[in-house]
Amino acid sequence: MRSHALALGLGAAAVLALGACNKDNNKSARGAPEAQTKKAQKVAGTKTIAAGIAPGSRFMTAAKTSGLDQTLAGPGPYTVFVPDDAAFNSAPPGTFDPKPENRAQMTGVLTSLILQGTVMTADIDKLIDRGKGKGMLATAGGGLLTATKDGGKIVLTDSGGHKATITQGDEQYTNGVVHHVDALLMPGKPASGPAVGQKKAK
Amino acid sequence: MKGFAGERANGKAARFANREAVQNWNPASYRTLAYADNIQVLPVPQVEQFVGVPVAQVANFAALSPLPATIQYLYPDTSDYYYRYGDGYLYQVDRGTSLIDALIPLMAGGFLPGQYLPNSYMNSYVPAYYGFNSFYPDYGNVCNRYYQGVVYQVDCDDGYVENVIPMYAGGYGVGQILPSAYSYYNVPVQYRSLYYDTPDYGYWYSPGAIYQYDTRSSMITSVAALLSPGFTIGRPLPMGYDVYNVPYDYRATYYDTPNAWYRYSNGYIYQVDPVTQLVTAIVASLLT
Repeated sequence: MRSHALALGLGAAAVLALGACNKDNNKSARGAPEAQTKKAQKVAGTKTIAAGIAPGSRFMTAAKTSGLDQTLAGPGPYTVFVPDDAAFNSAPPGTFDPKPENRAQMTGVLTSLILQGTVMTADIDKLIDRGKGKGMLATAGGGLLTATKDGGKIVLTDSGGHKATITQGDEQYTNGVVHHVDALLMPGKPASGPAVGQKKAK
Repeated sequence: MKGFAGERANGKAARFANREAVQNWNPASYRTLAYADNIQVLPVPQVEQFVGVPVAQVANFAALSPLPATIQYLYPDTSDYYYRYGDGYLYQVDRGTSLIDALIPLMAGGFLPGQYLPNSYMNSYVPAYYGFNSFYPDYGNVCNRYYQGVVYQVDCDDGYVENVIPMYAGGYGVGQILPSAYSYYNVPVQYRSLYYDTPDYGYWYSPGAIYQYDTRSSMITSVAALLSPGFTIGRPLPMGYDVYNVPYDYRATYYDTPNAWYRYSNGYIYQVDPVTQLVTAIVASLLT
């Protein structure tokens, strides 16, 4: 095994030298592959959540970095709480920088905004009524959001006590529904990033 | 993530120490670990010594290579640095100095292969949530232990970490590699007509998600679907899943009544007893 590794290493050095001669060619020849097969795309429909959310929004930028844009183009169905762009400013600095080492953290945050199935605001209202003022929603990230009402609006609270109000609900897509919220919900324990020895960006 | 390599990388003295260590490096003292298909992972105590060392020197010991073109978008080069990868890690190389200035393990988690899980964690078992404990059972001399969103497969005797399997919400996802022994096709049956292997990409299920991965590198390229823990007939609804969530097209047929609720999970619509909250039947399969 070790001699095999050494041989690979020597081979790689040759490749490395070739690569060094061609420094300008450091862009990927291809982008992200389609995660959804043709059949999955057909089931998802033509007006998906991924296609419907503004591509330049901070939510979608983060979704692309963590690969969740492809998820939201799939059959689902999903219920997604999309924070306004301004809400992302409340996150610790650097949380949503689109760098590879931030992917894990972003994945943890974004999946705390996604539910499985199609949950309309009327469904959350009924849940709250049935629970005599509050109801629990399980997120794709494995956490729970507490739903309550305040001034006739639905308020979501995460395990860390962060609150977000649904400002515009029930935006329907062929693979689920989007509710716009005014604040960011964060997982109770931030996921640790994979970077080791990573120096600050120049 | 603990800053193992970072501690060594901080300061010129540490970098020089690493260069010397690599010059005198003896690979015989390390175990090589196997990951996924044809992927070997070097123990982190070995690899952390590569930080601060010229990339050309490290290439004598580690299988450094450019990322395959199909996945270069995951770790794009910049004008300041470029990436090489191999043996389970990504190496960030400073263009100006040609030194390896950072190391990104392609496995998330606070402990990495080649380290020892603290003894106190040996009693931290994999949770039942999402069915993780049945998906990652102990076998032979391999013990699965759990800490802060990550399953560690360790040697039962000494806690030597052989495999790191972060759970999805713990940060497992795009740009990381499949864990060893789990790279076979295991997509749940109701999703198999949607997510099937091709010559270039495969699909792999781990509780919480179905991942698409690059078959050459075993690196995850996308999250194809998010899944819930799922319901079991005869068992209560899991907490947080009692909200009505049936897809639009099925709401006219499956609506809540005083005698029956309907809830969606992982491609199926289930019937639930409103009084006992027990799941009583699968009434529709949406994907097959």
